[in-house]
Order: sequence, then C-alpha cells, then structure tokens
Amino acid sequence: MTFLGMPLLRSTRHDDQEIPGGQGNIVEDESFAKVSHQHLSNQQLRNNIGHATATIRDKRSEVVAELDDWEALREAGSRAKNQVMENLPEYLAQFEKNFTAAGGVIHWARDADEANAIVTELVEANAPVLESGRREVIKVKSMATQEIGLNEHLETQDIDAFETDLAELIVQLGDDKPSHILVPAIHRNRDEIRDIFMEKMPDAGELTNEPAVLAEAARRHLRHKFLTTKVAISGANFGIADTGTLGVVESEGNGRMCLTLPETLITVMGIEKLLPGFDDLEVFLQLLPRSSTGERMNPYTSFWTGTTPGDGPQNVHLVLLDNGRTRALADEHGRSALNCIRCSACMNVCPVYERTGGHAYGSTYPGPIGAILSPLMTGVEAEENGSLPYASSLCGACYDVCPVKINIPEILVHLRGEDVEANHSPVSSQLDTALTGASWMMSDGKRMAAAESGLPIAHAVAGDKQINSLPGIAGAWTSSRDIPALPEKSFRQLWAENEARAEGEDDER
Amino acid sequence: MKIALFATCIVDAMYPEVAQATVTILRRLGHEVIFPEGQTCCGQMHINSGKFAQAEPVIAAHARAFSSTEWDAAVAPSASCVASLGHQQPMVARRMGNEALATEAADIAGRTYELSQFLTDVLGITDAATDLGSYFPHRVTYHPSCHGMRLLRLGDRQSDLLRSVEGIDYVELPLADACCGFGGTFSVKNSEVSSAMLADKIRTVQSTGAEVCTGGDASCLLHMGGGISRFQRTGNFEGTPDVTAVHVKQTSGRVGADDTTDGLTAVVGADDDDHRVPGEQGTRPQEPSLQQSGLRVGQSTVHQARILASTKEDPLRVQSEGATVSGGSLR
Amino acid sequence: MTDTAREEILGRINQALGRRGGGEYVSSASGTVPAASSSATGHAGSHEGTEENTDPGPPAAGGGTVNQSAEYLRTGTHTGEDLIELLIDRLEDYKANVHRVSGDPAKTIAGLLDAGSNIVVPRGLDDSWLQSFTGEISVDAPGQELSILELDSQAAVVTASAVAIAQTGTIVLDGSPECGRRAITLVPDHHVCIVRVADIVDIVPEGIARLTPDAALTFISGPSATSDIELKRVEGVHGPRTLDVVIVDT
Repeated sequence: MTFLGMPLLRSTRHDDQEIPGGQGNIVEDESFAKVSHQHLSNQQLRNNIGHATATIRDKRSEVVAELDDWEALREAGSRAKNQVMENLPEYLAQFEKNFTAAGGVIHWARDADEANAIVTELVEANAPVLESGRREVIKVKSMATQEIGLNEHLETQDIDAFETDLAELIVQLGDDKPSHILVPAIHRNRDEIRDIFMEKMPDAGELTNEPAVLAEAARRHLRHKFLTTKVAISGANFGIADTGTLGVVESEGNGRMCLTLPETLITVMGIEKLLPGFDDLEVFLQLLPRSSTGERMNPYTSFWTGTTPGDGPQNVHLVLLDNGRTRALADEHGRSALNCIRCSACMNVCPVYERTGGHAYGSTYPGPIGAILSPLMTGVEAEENGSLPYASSLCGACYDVCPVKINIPEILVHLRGEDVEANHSPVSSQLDTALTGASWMMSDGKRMAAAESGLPIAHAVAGDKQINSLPGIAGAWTSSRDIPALPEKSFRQLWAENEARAEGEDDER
Repeated sequence: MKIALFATCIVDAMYPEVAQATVTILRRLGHEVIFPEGQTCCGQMHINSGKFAQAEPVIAAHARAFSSTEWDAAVAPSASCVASLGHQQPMVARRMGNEALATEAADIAGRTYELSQFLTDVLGITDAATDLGSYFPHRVTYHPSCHGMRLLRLGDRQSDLLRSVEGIDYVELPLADACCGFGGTFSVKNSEVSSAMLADKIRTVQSTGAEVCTGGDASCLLHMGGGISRFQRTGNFEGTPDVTAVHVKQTSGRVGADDTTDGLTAVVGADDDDHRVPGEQGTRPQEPSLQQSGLRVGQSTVHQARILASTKEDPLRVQSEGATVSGGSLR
Repeated sequence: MTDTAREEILGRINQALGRRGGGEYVSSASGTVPAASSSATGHAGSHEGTEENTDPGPPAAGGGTVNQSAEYLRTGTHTGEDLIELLIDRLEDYKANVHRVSGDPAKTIAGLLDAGSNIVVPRGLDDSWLQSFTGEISVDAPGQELSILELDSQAAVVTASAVAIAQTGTIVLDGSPECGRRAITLVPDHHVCIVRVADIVDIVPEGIARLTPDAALTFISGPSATSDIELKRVEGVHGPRTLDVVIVDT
C-alpha cells in the first residue's frame, strides 16, 4: 500500500501470509468513546477508582524513591525483555528443555480455543466428578486465563473454577468483570464488597465493611476448597529459560495454596513471559512489586521447576499460549508491548483510566497498556479495537512509570497510523477533512499566511465576541469549552508590518 | 545571538501577543530575533492523528523554513511543539521513507529550544525580576504541560522563573502534574473523557484562588481557559459528565505557612470518613460554590511569556484591572 | 495436535522476527540455545562496556534522549549491626514480629509457642532449638509426611531459612531439610522462622546470587496480606497470619 505514491516503510510485515490475531476477551464490542460515556457519569465508580489509583500512585512513588538505581533497573529490565523477544524461539526451546527435564509437561496452544481445550482435557483426566456431577478446580488470579475466557469455557464443560484471589472472588461472586490488572475489583468500594459477600456467602454471617473483616470472611469461605481440591490452575509471572523455572508473585497466600496443595497443577502462560536467566530475577523482583502494589516486596513469591519430589503437585503442566502474541511480535514498532510484566503502574497514573475505569477498554488488558496490547494482538483490523489507540491524551505518564520502559505514547501514535492506513471509515469524517485541509495549508508558509489574512475579516464579522458554540465536529470542542475571540491579525502579519515600518524608518534616516 | 523565533501555529494565529512577548524578552536581553517566514507548524496535529502522510509535507515546510536562514538557536513558546520536533518529526519522516528529511528535522530539533529552557540553560537566567525586569503583582498558579514535564524534562525551569518575578503571589496548583485533557484531536475524538479531565483540572485551579493560571503551552491554556470561561458563564461544567473524584475541600488550619487566604485543598477520591454506613446510600460530593472556590474575581489563563515580559513600566493588566478576557484567555 | 501447534507457533515467531524460511527455529532436541549464562541483565560486565554512565544533566534541545542510565547496584552498603537493624525495620514494617537472640534461641522460640500445643517441624531442624518447648512435635519427613488435614490441625510450624534480604524484609525458604517442603509453612496459621545472621544480605541481587531453583523456592515478606479492598493493606488472609522471625547470632 502506498501513500501519495510514496512507499510506506513497513518492516512490520515480513509475511507472505498474515499471522492470525488473538481471540477471546481482548476485543472491544463498541468504540471507546461510546463505552466510556456510561462510566464517566458513574459517581461511585469515579470515586472508587480515583481514591484507589491516588493511593497506589503515592505508595509507588515512595518505594521507587527509596532506590537510587531505579532508572538503571528499568533499563536492565527493558534490555532483558528485548533480548527475549529478539531470540524468542531459542529461549522457548531452552525453557521447554529444562522444564521438561524437571518433570513438567508442556502443551502449546495457538489460540484461546486450543488452550481452553487443553486445560479441559487435563482437568477431566485429573479432577474427580463430585456428587453434584461436576468437577471443581481452584484458580490463582491469572491474566492469561482471563484473556482466553477459561472460566466461562470450563463452566460449559461441567467444571466449576473457583477464583481464590480476594479481588477475583469479589468479581466472581458479584457476577462482574475485572477492571484492573492488579486489583480486578478496584471499581468496588468496601461497602459494595460487603454487600456482595453478605449476599453470596451464606455462611458468612453479619459483616462490617472493615477490610480486615472482609478478608477474614474470604479466608473462611475458601479454606476447605484449598485443603481438598485436586486440581489447580495458575498463570505465571515469569518463566526462566536457563533453568525451566516458573514463578508466581502474590500477596494473600492463595497462590501458595494453589501451587502447593493440589495433586495437579496446570499453568497457562503467554510465550512472551520468559526471562533469559534466573539471575534476571534480581532486577524483576525489584521492578515488579514496587511498580505494582507499591511494596518493597510482595508477601509471597513462589518458584517451581517442573516437579519437586515430595514437595507440592507431582503432576505439573504448562500451556504455552500464543493467541495473538506472535502477531504483536511481528509489529516492529509495537513489539515492545510484549515486554509488559503486568504491573499495572500505567493504569494507576493514567488520567483516562482514572475517569473511565477498566471496563471501558472492553479487554482483559485495560488502561494504557491495554490500549496498545489489545489492538496489537488482534490487529487494528478488528475494527472496534481500532478506537483504543485514540483513548489517550498522550500525556506520557504511563511511559514514565513503566518498569520495562515500554514507550506507550509512541506506540499509541504508531497504531493510530496503522488505523488510518486500515481506513475504517471510507467516507471522510469532518475531522479528516479538516486535517487534510490543514496539511495542505501548513505545507507552505505562504498558504498559511494567506489563510491568516482572513483574520481581519473574521474579526470584523465576529467582533470581540468569544465563540461559545460551533456546529459539526467543532461542536465536540464547544460542548464544554469556549473559544477566545480571534485576534485581529496573526503574529505573521504583525511582524511583517513592523518590519516594513522599521525599514521605512531606516530609509527616512 | 541571532535567534530564530518558531511562533508555532496556535500562537501565530490565536495568540500573537505571546509571540510578541517572546520577542520582547529576547530583545530585552540584547539578542537579535528573526522570524523565518515559511514556518507553519510542527506537524503534531497530524502525527498524533495517525496521518503520517499528511504530516510529512508539514515537517518538510518546517525544515525548509528553518534550514534556509542563518541563526544560532531557534526558540518557541511551546514545550509540546519543541518536543514534537525532536521526538516525532524524524520518526515520521523515516517511516515515510524520507531519510534526508529525518536527518534535517533532527538537526533543526537539536538547535531548537523551548523558551524557559533557552532562558535558563543557554542564557543562564535565574532571576526574572533582576535579569528581565519581570513584574506581575498578582496571585498566579501554574500548570506544567505534560510534554514539558515528560518529553523535555523541564523540571522546575518554568516555575522557578515565575517565582522570581517581582511582586508575584505564586500558589502551587494541587495535582499539578495531571493532564488538562487537551491532547490535540483527543479533545474532540474522546470529547467526554477530555472534558471530564478538564473539569477536574479547573476544580483544582479554582481551589488556588488565583486570578491567573499560567503555563508554557498555549494549547493547554486555550483548553483550560475555554473550560474556565464556560464554568464562569454557566456556573457548571455544562457538556461534561459532571462527576468527579477530585474534591475541593474546606480544610481547617493553614495549608502553607504563608497561605492564609483560603482553606481549600484538592484531593482525589473519597476519604475514609466519606464511607457510608451499611444501608445508607452514597452521596455526591458537594461542589464548592463560586464564592468558596476563591472565584471572587474572574479567572483566566495566560502564557508565561507575557508574565515574564510584564514590567513596572509596561505591565500586563489582568481582568480586575479592566483587561479583556476572551474565552478564558487574558488578552 | 500440540506438536503441530508447537511447530506452527515457532514458525509464526520466526516469521514475526523476519527470519525467512520455514523450520529455521531451533528444536529442543538438537538445537543450540543462548549461552547458558546469558542472563540478559547480566553479571560481571557483560554489557557495561558500551553503556556510558552519563549524568542526565540538563535536557537537550528539542527533547533529546535522557536517561542514559548507570548500572544498577549488585551489592548493598549495609554491614554488621546496620544490616541487622535494616532487616528488623523492614520486617516490622510489614507486620512480622521480630525477636533478636544472641546464643541459644530455645527459650525465645518456646516463648512464642503455646505451651502444650502441637507444632510441626521439618526433619532437618536443629533439635536444640526446641529443647525448651513442652508441647507435641511432629516431624515432617520424606515418607512420613503429615497429611494436609493434619497440618491444618497444627498450632504452628517452626523452620529455619536460607536467605534473608534486609532491604525488602524478605525471607527465602529453599526446601532444604531445615526449611522443609512448602506445605508445612503454609497450612499452619503461625510460622516461627529462624534467621541466622550469617544468612542476611543487604539487597535483592545479593539474595538471588545465593539461591538456585533446584527445589521449589518461597519468598516471604511479612505475613499473608491483601490490598484488594481500596488498596488498603490488610495482614492475614490465606497464608500464616502470624509470622515470628527469630534472628539468631551464632
């Protein structure tokens, strides 16, 4: 494809045939502008998210400020992930060899459907059918399984998946959707959580809205499940290529329960989660907790390498998931989005996320990272995801806090270019027309001067009155903002007149 | 020094007085200022809309205008436009396959400075009152632009200059580093989100009780001024989902040692004591009245170049002194 | 089915990376992998050579790049008493109870446990540490593992530890005979963990350097906690709700 006869440099595509995009919970149903409308006017939501993101922002900056070498750690984190992406086949092979040698079993899944089928088969082979006629599994919070819609799929296969992370439990009991990577129930406050628990935990008794009381209720609710369930499903924060080790970073101990007590452990991990070596943890175990929960270290981190004889599950599986990651990898300008370690710092600082909440992004991955990751995984051709790269004022706060230095604003702009090229609306919008006109005018100072020479006339017509209302696309501006009266003359005109006058004065001398 | 003024499109067409103030400051320091006539725009509007093909001829126009003239440094009264020259123009030119333009754009960007950056880093100005004769005896608050903060890393350069203006009553803007919601075409493509960000920004500006909100980017100031004007005209955030998590609260006690004029402060989110007891319905936060929010006088926005250019002999007048405010901008 | 998936995914990756020709990927059976020690963040000057430690200084005109960062720290600066005090401070900050003992910790440990209660210990725990305890001790050992329900009925678990990282208040259990398998430090509601002064390091890289992932590893920083409700940290969810750390000078 060419623009104005000029070949657009697109090293992003080396293909003869397009790499397929991902499927599952990574596609918006409607454009961001439409979906965000309802969330913006929800006072409770705005209050809850405003309060929570402000709290976590402060905590993060405090613990980041404690480290003099923070910028160097970010640089090292970025370097490590770039190296993984550039050599992904080699690292995957190395990881596979080591994990398998240690007694683990690896399964590869091209997309969500395939991953769901693999997990279902493993659960059916290892979890007993209960009296109810259904099977049960316990789950540790995992973005990958959210992405592929695993719980919903298992439900149709007569398998009940119990979320054990407190926030995921709140979401699951509330028949709700997660709205944040780290704190899926960030859109709920303690009063709402109490109401959900009172309604959905029959044995909980009377509860107050104290977070400690609510946490205790969750402990009692899940304890028996932890001690008796035979199969657990987890995600993974890291896969270590040079040792074949997997790691889960968590707080509550529900992760340890799931990773330790059941007989069978099934982990679903994206192929991009690898780190080159065990030593790289010295960087990532500093970057992740401080960026994520704003703690120096999260309460619990577990690492396992295949199976450990006499310790924990002896039947250990890993599903390596593509589901659009290779498509994102093919985009040279967007590839670094795969470096994401799911800390959620970007959404905590994002002024757009703070006002719309996570549901507006229509994907498992909300906020700034979601606005690039979702369209990268599906392709901007997935039309509604084409609106996500515009869901940003490009303020740059996300890039500043990203522990692996993903330049989110630059990728947003890049994806806007891809969207323009995909040409979703063959009929030009008013904005497109205006921009086309502006490009013509601004390509030549004389044309701009000519356009500005209309200012005295416009000024004579409109006078000193400011502009409070305009039709068409400009009405989107004047819906909430007035516009100053136009000046009588542009600076260019004033400058030319002054120059002429000065020269005239020189001549007179 | 021979300085090429890059006025930027918005200042050229909407705020000629800002470019004039920039020239005034530079001449006052003894420098020669030229205005390369072919200049138009940095191209950011097109780039940020994904229209790289349309941006390329705009970038080329900038390169033509600024490569054809002899000058020592170029200066613009805009952090965002200067950032676009370095951070975006070469990238877009390269993507369009125009390596020569990319090189030229990068070269020009390397010699182009934002005004406060030029004054402090190149000219070594540390005290606006002493070095520039700046005088502005009014209560002022300051909004740092996102691109100044995060792309140019201006740090305290702009605010330090403002603080050193004679007579100024400088008030910190709460939540200053929050974006005002402008974002170029974001303000129309996602108008409601943008307006919600703007409304929160204006709440914080109001909480300072400042007569003037200043900054180094005319685009943000146009946006904020437009919102301030609308609020003052209609008494509400008309056209905006009028919901906020930014609460301007009456605080007991002093905020700062010198700050006794208002007991208002802005915070994000509900405090612990805002939680309802079980069974009770949630309540909406109370909007501060115009009186409470310090709006005893009208507020307006003005570019900091005009505050720095203001002197005792030729002072910049504010609204309470009879100056015109249009669309929230001080004329 | 999954073999095909494997080939196809690796093929897509090669295509995405612009590596022409099918089957260029390296198979796990025969292929070379990146050099075993190629940790990307690197030790021992693997990349320092090209990175100048430049002071960011004033921003360049036109927004030139900043953040030419220096190398991150691999060793801390705290030693001796400062190091121990830092660990205590950080552990207490995250609501662990810290007890410091020089010499024999038996009395201190017994004091943390209810007299006459039942506890579980890993087989390699130093016997002398429990000589003052009067309750019932179950020893968890290979072939003689306590069941999950038996673990659930224990009042407490007492273990040693492999490494303690002062800067973050983190204790690492490595599955060694004196740390035990993972379940014993998870199910009981009270964990008494002994940290030897010799095992304390200052910062995270020093801790990682002392570990290998041959067995399962557990990093513990304070008792179980959650921040899921309004980002407020609450201690005590599913893991042990009480963490007593006994720092022993031996």
